[in-house]
Amino acid sequence: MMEKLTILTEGAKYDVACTSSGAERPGNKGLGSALAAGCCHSFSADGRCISLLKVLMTNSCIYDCQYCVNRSSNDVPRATFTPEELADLTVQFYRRNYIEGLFLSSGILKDPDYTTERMIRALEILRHKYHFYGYIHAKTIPGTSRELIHRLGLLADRLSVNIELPSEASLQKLAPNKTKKGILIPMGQIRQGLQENRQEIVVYKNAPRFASAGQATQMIVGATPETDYRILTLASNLYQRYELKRVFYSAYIPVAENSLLPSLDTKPPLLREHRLYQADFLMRQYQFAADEILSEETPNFNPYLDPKCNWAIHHMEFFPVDINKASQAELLRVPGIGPTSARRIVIARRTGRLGMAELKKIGVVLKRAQYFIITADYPLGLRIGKETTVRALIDPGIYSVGREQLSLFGQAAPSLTGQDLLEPGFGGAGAESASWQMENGERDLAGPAVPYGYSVSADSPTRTPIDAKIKAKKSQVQALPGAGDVCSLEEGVEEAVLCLAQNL
Amino acid sequence: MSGSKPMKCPYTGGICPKSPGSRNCRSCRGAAFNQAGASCQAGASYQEGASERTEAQSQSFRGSQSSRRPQVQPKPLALPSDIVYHYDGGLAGFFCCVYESVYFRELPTAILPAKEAQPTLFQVKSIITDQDKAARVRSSIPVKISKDALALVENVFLSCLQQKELLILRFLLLAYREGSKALRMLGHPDVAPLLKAEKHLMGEAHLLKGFVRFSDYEGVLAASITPKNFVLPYIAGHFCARFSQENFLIYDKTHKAALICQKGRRRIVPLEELPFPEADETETRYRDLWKKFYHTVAIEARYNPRCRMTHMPKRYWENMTEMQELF
Repeated sequence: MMEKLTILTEGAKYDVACTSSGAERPGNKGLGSALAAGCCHSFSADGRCISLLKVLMTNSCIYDCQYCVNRSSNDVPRATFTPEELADLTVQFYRRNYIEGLFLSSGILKDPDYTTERMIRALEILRHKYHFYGYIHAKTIPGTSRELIHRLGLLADRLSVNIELPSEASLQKLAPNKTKKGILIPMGQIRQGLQENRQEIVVYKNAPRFASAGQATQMIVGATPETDYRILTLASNLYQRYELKRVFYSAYIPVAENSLLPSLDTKPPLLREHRLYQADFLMRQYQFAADEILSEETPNFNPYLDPKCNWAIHHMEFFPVDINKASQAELLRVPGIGPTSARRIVIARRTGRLGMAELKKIGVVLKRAQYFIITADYPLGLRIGKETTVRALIDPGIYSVGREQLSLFGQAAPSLTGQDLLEPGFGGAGAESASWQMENGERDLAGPAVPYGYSVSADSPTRTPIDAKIKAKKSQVQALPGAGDVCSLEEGVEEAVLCLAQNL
Repeated sequence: MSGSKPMKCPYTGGICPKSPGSRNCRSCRGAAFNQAGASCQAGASYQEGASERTEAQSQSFRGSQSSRRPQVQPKPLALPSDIVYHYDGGLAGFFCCVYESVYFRELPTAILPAKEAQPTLFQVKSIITDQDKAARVRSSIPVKISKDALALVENVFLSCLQQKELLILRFLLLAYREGSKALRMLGHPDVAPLLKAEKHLMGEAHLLKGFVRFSDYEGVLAASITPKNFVLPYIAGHFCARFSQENFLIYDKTHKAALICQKGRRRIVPLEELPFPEADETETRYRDLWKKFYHTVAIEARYNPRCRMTHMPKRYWENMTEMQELF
């Protein structure tokens, strides 16, 4: 058992999602409950949350995806849980409060339907024999029949289909057994299942819930040459069209020596992954559009500044914002003010005008916010030079990553080696033809996006047209220093400050 | 009347914008009621009442926190004085301190539970707990301030805030003056510390919902925790609902109390000491499996111990199965 658990955890650990949020189920007669906010039960040595027992049903797989540890050509020990073993382990861990539930994924035995049936059997034992009401996240395997997906959805709280790589060309190269269509079909089916279930619940409130915590997906970042802008627009479109709850990004960790992939000594692009998550949160909770965060002209993130600060210093015409008058949406645009502090400001200012001291107590990060706001005690805002502002905004997280991380934002994706990747038609302009298209083929899934959860209104402050002056400014922007230009992080930061201040 | 000619609304006098012709439009009735209420409070006729209300609103908007114009401050309920209160350490005892403070119009320098008392140069008053007085203070809070204020006071009283008694008293003195508005003064120096302490308490309770580790001792689950705040009442509901079919016990070492849940009935009892028996074979087996899982699931290439400590501070490690070797 010990050996099996080790092998099957080893195979599952590169899956990113370990969230247990989104499903609220009060405990009753059986064992367990689910919290809408989710609950982390532990944190592993890499700082990631452990909330679910994340294992594979089996790590034998008929597919040969180049980036995956469980690919059929890889020489690793193979193991398979029986449904009974898995259910017993989950219940025993759950009773001791080690975990919040089960995250079940699987390598593909024989064919997708057979594998999914085995997963369903394990979940049925949990739900019906042990009366387990904890959280279950199940991976859907592309190619599974619609009926099985429906049965899986009735047992699990969240379903996910991995989109794996951000473009179809990359998918063809690295995962020859998977196709864009094969991945999007189950995603569409789950969306349809969710919509139908919503109607059923309206009619009959005790109707069985289909995947009550929605669906999610994940993709690998840094194994293929897509730009951040492409990844972000893809995510934005997935949120809108497939009603995903979350898109997860996974920094590629080399697990295989292959000419198609970055070499084994490449460090995972953690800073890039971090920036993607920051941008993802801006889209989901701060009402930013993908196009506001990045654009065709600047397709990659600024390594020195987080996306919100980066937006702020390039839209100085929007600031300063008056804390005592601005709407909640305007407050959300200020670096250092998040959804919670914006809400608190709106409540607190009804009782009196707010100054810097009150803001500090409310929980605003004044270190970043002070340059962008007008308060009762600073009616003109702080008058501070551009350089000081930029210096204060530099992301302190930059110092905890290696210097080499700066260059992973480069256009040319230097982490890639191998001749065949440089052939025309791959990446860059050629990628247009091979981008993610919907089944109806009308709109490009990675094309420009309407912001997620964002209603366009006439008086909206975020829709300020960029006038010609700013456009002219942007054309003569200096490039930020990359890893090759500097010999230490400190020097890079110093250069970046000067460069950004000059560009403002 | 039929719909050919819209009827005048009996409350607002105009043609109802929501449901023309209806006598029972709720929104009109609500509006009329609010206006009437405002005029009653202002003690004036309907028209004047409305104008008074807007003026009062604008004045409060200018507010007291950092106003531009000097304002006449209302007379404080209690003035600072060189007195130290000693009380029995319970919530009722504390409410008696509030009673004493308001009755004698004095704001003490400190309020201490009798067992933490130290010799002092200040004048000491020992407050005797009187249930009637405590009940009067307690029931005054929802009436004069709001229900949320009572919840806040009760929560903060269980938190680990330094000098929590004095801070709660200061908040109450402010809130008796300001009414329910006090809870919205999030940046006020007398309100912010309480909200922060409440957040800390609730945050710790949420973390412990995940970090509690039970061991199975012949069918009874037992765990021990060492929290800073007294979180047992806040995690009790969660665990009782989750393990409704189990008998379990959570022992709080810091506060010497235990939550006992048997067949859905729960109790929090003071408990000086609780020795845990040795783990049996099955228990050891599952512990080992869990430790193995914990160490396997980490990705070496992303090793980041500082991030782990941010999310899971070291003070929780001593009670967690998987952290025993590292602790």
